[in-house]
Amino acid sequence: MNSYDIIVVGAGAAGLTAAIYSSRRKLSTLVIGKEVGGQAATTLSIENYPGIKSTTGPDLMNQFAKQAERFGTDIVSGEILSISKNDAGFLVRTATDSYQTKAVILAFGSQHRHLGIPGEKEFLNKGVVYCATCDAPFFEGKPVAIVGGGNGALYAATVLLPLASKIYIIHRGETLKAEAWLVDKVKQEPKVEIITKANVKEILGNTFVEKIKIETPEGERELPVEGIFIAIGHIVDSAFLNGLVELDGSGQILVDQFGRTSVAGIFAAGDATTIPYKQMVIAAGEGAKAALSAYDYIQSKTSS
Amino acid sequence: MNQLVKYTVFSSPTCHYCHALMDWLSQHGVAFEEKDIMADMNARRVMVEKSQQMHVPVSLIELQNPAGQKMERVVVGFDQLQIAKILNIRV
Repeated sequence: MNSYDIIVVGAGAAGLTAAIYSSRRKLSTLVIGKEVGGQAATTLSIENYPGIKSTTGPDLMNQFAKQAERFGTDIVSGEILSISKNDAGFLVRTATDSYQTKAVILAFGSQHRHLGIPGEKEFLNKGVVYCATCDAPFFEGKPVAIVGGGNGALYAATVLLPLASKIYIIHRGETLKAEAWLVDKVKQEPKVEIITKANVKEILGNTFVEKIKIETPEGERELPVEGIFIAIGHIVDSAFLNGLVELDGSGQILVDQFGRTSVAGIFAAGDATTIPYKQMVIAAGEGAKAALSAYDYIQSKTSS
Repeated sequence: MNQLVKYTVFSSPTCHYCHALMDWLSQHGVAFEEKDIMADMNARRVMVEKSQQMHVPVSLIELQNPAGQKMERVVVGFDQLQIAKILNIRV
């Protein structure tokens, strides 16, 4: 069986930074992630990462990965089935392999929240979209709906503005929650129609999405759209941990100021944790902190 | 055995699995043409038509059987096992 000092779960900004720090401390490090780059890799334009004027998510994340590999980190793609405690530390299982490790850093980020309505699953990649930057070009000249009223939804609108023929923004609240400048920019566009206090009930079509049913205070409405962009926030999918570490009510991993979880030897960083503000630079910093904490933990174990 | 006539990868710049797929094809000595569906509207149309969905990567694999008949296989996603089977590559 393969054995490492540290196994990092997740290959986004937090996980890869943790790996850079731990492998520079000469800890053998394995990163297991579903996709290198995490959420940042689906962002086309990044202009708020200090020291880098402007870049794309995939480019920056590839740099993170290369930097980690340069110091000896192994990166594999895979999904974790289970993590369990044993005498030597922890046993981490994927579908194809088992790994033994002294410490674990959980940095698997968050996933898009789903609406949970009929048609959402059936039309995934057939008109139902969660990543506007990835899929917007498919809707050139077509009418679309965006669900949500936060920054994510309004950002999707700015991506779709030059492409879509008509944009409905459907928000269940009374006012949009996104930053004011973004709301002002989108509101003044004639092709945008904002429908507040509304809920999407169903997504309909044949092979592809053809229309959606929404419920408003004035009654039900059908909107003829070929795309529905769902931007209603993120959730932390921590079910696979199976009660291993303590979580808050929404599934985020509870960490202290050293990135320690409720279990000695398991650390966590980034969007999967209770740390506020889901930003790349914060996730990276938290990843570094978790790695240094894990280093201290391993040192204390080996010297005692 | 079927002969590979042409391998086309429909990709987008933000798609990590597209790059992983193309790296993997290169490693196995498979020549392919990359079509960026973000930049190329016609490629986008062809991809949706062939795969009946809008997720990248999509592999369009054109083959010829020993009798000279042409056929097409479409694979959505970086499905290593399926692609390896179609191309008769050992993994």
